[in-house]
Amino acid sequence: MVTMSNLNRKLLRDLLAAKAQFAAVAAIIAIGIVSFVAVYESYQNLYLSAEHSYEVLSMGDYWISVDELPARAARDVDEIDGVTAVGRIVGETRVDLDLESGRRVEAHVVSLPSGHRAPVNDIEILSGDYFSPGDKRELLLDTRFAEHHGLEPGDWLTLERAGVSASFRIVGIAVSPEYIWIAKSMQELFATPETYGVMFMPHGMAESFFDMRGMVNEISLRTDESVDESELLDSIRNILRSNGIKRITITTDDDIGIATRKIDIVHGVRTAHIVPREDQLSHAVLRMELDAFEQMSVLFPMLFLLVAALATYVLLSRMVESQRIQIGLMRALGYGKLQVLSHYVGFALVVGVIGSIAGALVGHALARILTDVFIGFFHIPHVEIQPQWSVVGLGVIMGTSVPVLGGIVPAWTTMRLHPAESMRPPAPPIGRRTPLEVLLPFIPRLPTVFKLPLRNSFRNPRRTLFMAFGVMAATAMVLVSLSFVNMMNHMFTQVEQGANYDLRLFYTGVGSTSTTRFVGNHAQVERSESVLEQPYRLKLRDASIDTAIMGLPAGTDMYRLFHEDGSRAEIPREGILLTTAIQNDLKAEIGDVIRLEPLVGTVAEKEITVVGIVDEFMGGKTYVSLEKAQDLFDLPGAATGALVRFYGEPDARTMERIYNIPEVASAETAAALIDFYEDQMDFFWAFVSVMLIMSFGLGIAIVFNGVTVNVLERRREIAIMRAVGMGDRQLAKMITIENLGVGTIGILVGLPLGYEIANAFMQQVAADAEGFAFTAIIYPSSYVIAAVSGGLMLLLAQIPPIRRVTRMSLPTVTKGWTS
Amino acid sequence: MSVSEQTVRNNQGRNPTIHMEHVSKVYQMGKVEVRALDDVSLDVWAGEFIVFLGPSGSGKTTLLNVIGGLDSPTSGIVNVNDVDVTSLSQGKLTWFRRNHIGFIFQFFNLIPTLTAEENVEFAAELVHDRRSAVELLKAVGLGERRKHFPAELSGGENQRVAVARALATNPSVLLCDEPTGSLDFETGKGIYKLLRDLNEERGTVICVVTHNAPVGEIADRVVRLHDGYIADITVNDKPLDPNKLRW
Repeated sequence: MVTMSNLNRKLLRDLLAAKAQFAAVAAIIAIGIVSFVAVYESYQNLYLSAEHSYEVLSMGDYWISVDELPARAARDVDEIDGVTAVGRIVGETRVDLDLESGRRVEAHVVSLPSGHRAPVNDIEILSGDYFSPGDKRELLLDTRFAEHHGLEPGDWLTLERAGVSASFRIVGIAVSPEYIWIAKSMQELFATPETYGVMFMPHGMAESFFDMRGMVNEISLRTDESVDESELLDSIRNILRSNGIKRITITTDDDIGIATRKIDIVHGVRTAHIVPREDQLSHAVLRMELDAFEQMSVLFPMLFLLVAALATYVLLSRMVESQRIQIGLMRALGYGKLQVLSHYVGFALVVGVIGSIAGALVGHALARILTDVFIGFFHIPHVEIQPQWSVVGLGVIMGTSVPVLGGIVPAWTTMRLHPAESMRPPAPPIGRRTPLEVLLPFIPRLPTVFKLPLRNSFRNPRRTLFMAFGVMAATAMVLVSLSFVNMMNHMFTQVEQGANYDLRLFYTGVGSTSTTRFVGNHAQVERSESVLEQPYRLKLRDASIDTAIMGLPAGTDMYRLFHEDGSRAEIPREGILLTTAIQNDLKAEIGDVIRLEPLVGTVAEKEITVVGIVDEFMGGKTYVSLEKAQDLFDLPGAATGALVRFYGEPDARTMERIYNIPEVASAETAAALIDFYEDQMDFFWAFVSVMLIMSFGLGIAIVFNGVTVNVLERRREIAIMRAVGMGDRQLAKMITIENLGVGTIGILVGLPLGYEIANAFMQQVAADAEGFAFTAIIYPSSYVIAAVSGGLMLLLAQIPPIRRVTRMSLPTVTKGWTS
Repeated sequence: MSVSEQTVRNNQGRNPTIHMEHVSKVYQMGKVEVRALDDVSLDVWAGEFIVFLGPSGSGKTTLLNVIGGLDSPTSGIVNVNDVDVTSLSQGKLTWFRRNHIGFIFQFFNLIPTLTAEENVEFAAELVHDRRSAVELLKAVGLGERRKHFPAELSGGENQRVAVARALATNPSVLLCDEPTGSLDFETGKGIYKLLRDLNEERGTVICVVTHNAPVGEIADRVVRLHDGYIADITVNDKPLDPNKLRW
């Protein structure tokens, strides 16, 4: 039979005697480890799933976009050693969904071989079949588009291009590794399936539909590991040049702006653009999301573990102090310093092991659920969920070592305790005037119920600091959670306030302002305004950013922009407005002259002066007047879309007539845009709710421990107060005043700290996402909520220790040092 | 022949169990120097029962702590069982206490979360030559109460547990610091009876520190301390039976 040593038995019983406090620390550790293991394991699962999908479906390593090339060029690329290449046709088209409203949407069509599966960038069929041989009028739809519009295999869909309509039979629903994230560009990251979708067409059929017989406009390729990148790119350049391509650009150094460079047919100069996988839009966005996910998996657990380490420190400090006679006794009996040290470290170890194992197991179980949620959100074709035992193990190691680190300092003090000295009862605390009393002479005249708490706060500064730290950490975490809510609200508000139109039209390619005027002539249309948008590279000194310049009528009220202080920003007649994010990326100031390099077409580089900064949370566009845009782009009278406002609710007929205008590629209502944003954020709310619950849990646990330690350390003193006639209510009032005083300090420090943490987190995310203004947004009401929460947590957490002291047996406590 | 003379005669040719030579202990309390022990020299022989008497602050506890290796003297020599205690490192001192010394304190100093039996085992576990906790508790009259926690025992019972614990390692020297200081008269008398029996049956050196002068009557020798120095040593020819003790 295995027998337990009495030292371990003591450890176990001491743990049980203070079980609530140790359980609170274990809970903090467990929460931290749950969040680490659940999020980090999910991150790894998502990463693996994406990589697995890329592997199984032969995701390309490079994409070459051109106006057109003979299919032979793709075969030439395919013949390069270690390279598998496929030529395909990629284009945008209008889709007639034959909806009651007559609305039409835009689709991104990608050609695929019909006789066999594509050796590069294959797709996963979720329902239905792959194309039948023979290049028939068949389509495969991306699942999000199909789901949103209720389309199924067997349905027919009409596509329109260049005034020609053709009907296709939907043969299957699919997902593609290339389109895990569907967006039109990096500037328009959220493409709603309401108006935009991805679909696949047999290559032969695409040749006739896009009028590109024997030609391709994109080559996607995979390479073996043996292929040298620079040699490969040289070979590709040679093939492209031999096919008449004059300009070849590679986005190796630009990890974001690639989407804006999707090649269009340009006038004269034939350009090819090579995109490596790291710049591929879907992959880049997915990686950005996963990176943020990874950062989140570390940041919050770190906060929790830091708090757990401090909680352990305070708890064990109190234990060592209250057991100093026992420590002296152990040393007198012949227990060695290391035995005593390891005994006290043992407390931290047990709490750490219990907290971290519980946390790791729950986190592991949650990881599965979280992974499913995210897989569902991202539509990753092949799910690769593996138990990430290394993450679980890392969680256990972290969760165990952190409290041990926190506990080692107080445990170490036992080494320094001299046996004879430690067996003497500690000297009674010295009562003295606090520095505050010296500064404020009226304080000594206050009633005892105020004076005592004040003196107590100064009597043990370490304990006071810990209490304040607990409230500070909890308040900060609540504020960080609320900042996410505020960020989303701010974003929605910007979308709602900014989109002061009813309908936004996107024209096919570059249209004309006359189309906008035509739209404005409809009876129910109150007003229509042209929009002209083109992708550009902005350069200032050494910095550059790929973005879009949007031209809007000066003084427009339909597309509202705001300064950071919330005031309206007018579109200037001259100069350019930058968003805060672009200003930061370029390190630009008002008055700086920025160089504009067009990413499409042959327009010459131009310069423009920064005349203002606008606060736009999502999307990194820049704004000029419509006239200025037409001048910059050398496109007089041009428009790429329009903003429309109706008198009241337009009827179906008006809508149908607008949708039927040949230049209109797609349309998006402002309401649909807001609905889409809200749909996208469903899981975000769940995440914030969990964070708030965790913050409250953390706050209650740490404040409970702080107050308990505070009260227990003075239980004799409190017992004496009770013995001399102080009532329970008075006692509770006094403890509450002291705690609220200390808590107020914690709250006052916690609020700016919370802001700084939220800001640091947002800036970390922003560093990965060029052109996004991820600065912390915290509403004044959130500060109030966080402060009240801090106080509330304190009041709730002090109930058990106060009950304990008011119920403790006076004879037992006042009996003296009986042990 | 007195007991003390007998003791000395029995130990002739041997070294004393405790040998102290010019032992001083000085504490620095801020700017004030406190001389807790002042040039104390004393030999204690195997089988002796010694009582150190003196008022508060006379250096009794410091003397006991120095003998037991809980505190080190500022100067002088302290040998216990031929071990020079003053030259031992902290690690060796731990080993020394474990194997040579038993302590009994005024406030018992039991571990509150361990039962009486576990408290005794707590000390016994440290040595190979240990004594049965159950037997020891039976010997101090607590055989039936061994599963009780300190809070469930009376003061006298707690002190008896402390005695049993002190004996668990088979020490040759038992150092008792005001062992009856927090007990009533009858209970205290019982503890002294217990200590005297141990001394007679096992030959364990017993050193008792107290400010209670009548206790000196049960000792073989009474050492009176005053302001850290030995003011007087009295030999009791016929030590009093602890049962007849009165104070």
